[in-house]
Amino acid sequence: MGKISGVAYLASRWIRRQPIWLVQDLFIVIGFAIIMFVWGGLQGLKNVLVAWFISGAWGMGVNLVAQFIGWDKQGKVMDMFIASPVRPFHYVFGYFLSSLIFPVVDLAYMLVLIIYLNAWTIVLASLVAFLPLLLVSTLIGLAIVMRIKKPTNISAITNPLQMLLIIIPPVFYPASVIPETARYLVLLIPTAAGAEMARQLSGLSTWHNIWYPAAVLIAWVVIGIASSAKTVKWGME
Amino acid sequence: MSVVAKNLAKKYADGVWGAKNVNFTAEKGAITVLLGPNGAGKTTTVGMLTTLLKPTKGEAIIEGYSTTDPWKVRELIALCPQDVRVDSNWSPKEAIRGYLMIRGFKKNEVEKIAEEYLKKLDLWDSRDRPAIQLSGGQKKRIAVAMILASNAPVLFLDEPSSGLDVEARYVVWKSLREEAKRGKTIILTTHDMKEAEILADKVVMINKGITVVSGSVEELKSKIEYEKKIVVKNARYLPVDVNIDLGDRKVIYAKSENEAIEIMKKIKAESISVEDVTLEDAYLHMVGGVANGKD
Repeated sequence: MGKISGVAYLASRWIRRQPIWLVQDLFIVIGFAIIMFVWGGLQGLKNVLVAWFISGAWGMGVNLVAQFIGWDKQGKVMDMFIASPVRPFHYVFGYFLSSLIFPVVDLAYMLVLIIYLNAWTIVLASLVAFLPLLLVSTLIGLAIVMRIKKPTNISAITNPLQMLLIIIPPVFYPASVIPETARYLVLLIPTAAGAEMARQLSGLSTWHNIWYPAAVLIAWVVIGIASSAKTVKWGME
Repeated sequence: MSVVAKNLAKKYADGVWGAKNVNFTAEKGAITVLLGPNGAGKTTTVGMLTTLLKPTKGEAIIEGYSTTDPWKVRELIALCPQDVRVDSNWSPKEAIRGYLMIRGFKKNEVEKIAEEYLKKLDLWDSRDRPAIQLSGGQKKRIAVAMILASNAPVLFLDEPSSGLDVEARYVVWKSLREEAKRGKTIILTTHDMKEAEILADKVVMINKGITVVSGSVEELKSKIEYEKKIVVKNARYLPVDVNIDLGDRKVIYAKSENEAIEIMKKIKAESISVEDVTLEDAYLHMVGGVANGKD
């Protein structure tokens, strides 16, 4: 436990020094809630909850855990960790713990909305999609950052990747608005599959085909493991 | 022996050999310095000893355990990599505290040990400032402090004093000597002769991926046939062979004091000085090829 908490302690220093990022999250949560309410009423608000879990999972994996591990590799801090009793599990789990502050704070911001809407089913359904998506996001993120040679390219690649897969696919809007043929194609995107799965589980979707997004997410977990296994190494290279 | 490198060799994926045949041993309570020019294979050797790299050939043994069992070896080592960049958000105190937590220290021990090493590495006054506000030398000392504060019996430091000013180098050197005195095995790489001469209990000279020679500073100096070095400035008459030609300054080696005096009598120059040979001269002969007239 000491190893995990040591990594988490070091990895969380930046949030302690730059807490304004958490305030920025508050503005985004409130802003999107207003937008969704104005356009979609209470149904819009319920959908924003799903979207927040999905975007939280995707952002935490690719843009926090993977990005910071990429910087550790470039700065050779990772070499210090490898040549120590820390094991990959301690290291990655430490980073997860340190990054957990973002979804936890977001959840705290959303709590008012969740209580007002009595939306606990949506929260539980979103958590079911949150966990595999977080795994996919971290694995794909690691597979990418471990290939990057220039430190400045890390956030230049992970930041757009995060936004691209949250804003354009059906995460903040339901996949059911897309014609059925195209829907199968769009739901191959992991964030879209995660959002659709959460919506179907919570009864927000008008489409009933839970196995398709679930199968897509499982396939992405396999792709993530295969692609990161090639690039993510813990010494002995 | 605390550390054994036996016929270590590493061929990288691009086909380049980082090390071809490195052999040496390092003892507990001593500083072993891997000395060699840039690209000699020092960092590759440290990489293999610290389980970052898998040797292509040979064997690396740490405290009796082969690096083929990396998890066991990693319990016993700590590494300060070359050009390490500590997170700019870490303060010196936080960096040491976090690293000690990783190494399994209890909470009440962490604060005490952190204070000790912050003071030793002259970081106490800036202990709470994030690294982004510190100088390059202070950042480097944070990484050194993290490693020295650890309970690992074998410490590897890859060019720990590069980029440090004179004062900071002595602060690091003093701390390294103290850790060796406490019984830790320290393996350090450098291409700085002065650093090697001051710090080393044992010097391992590496060139082109091969161990050229190893021994104490005195042993290595005695391996060359010269005792004295004559430095001649602006020679007007120089009827002897020059070993090193630096333009207006020439270096001539002599086998004894008497020979040096004889040589000096023949020379006419603006100034002539005689010095004892140093580790640098031994290095130049054994690695630099001076003895073969390749100066």
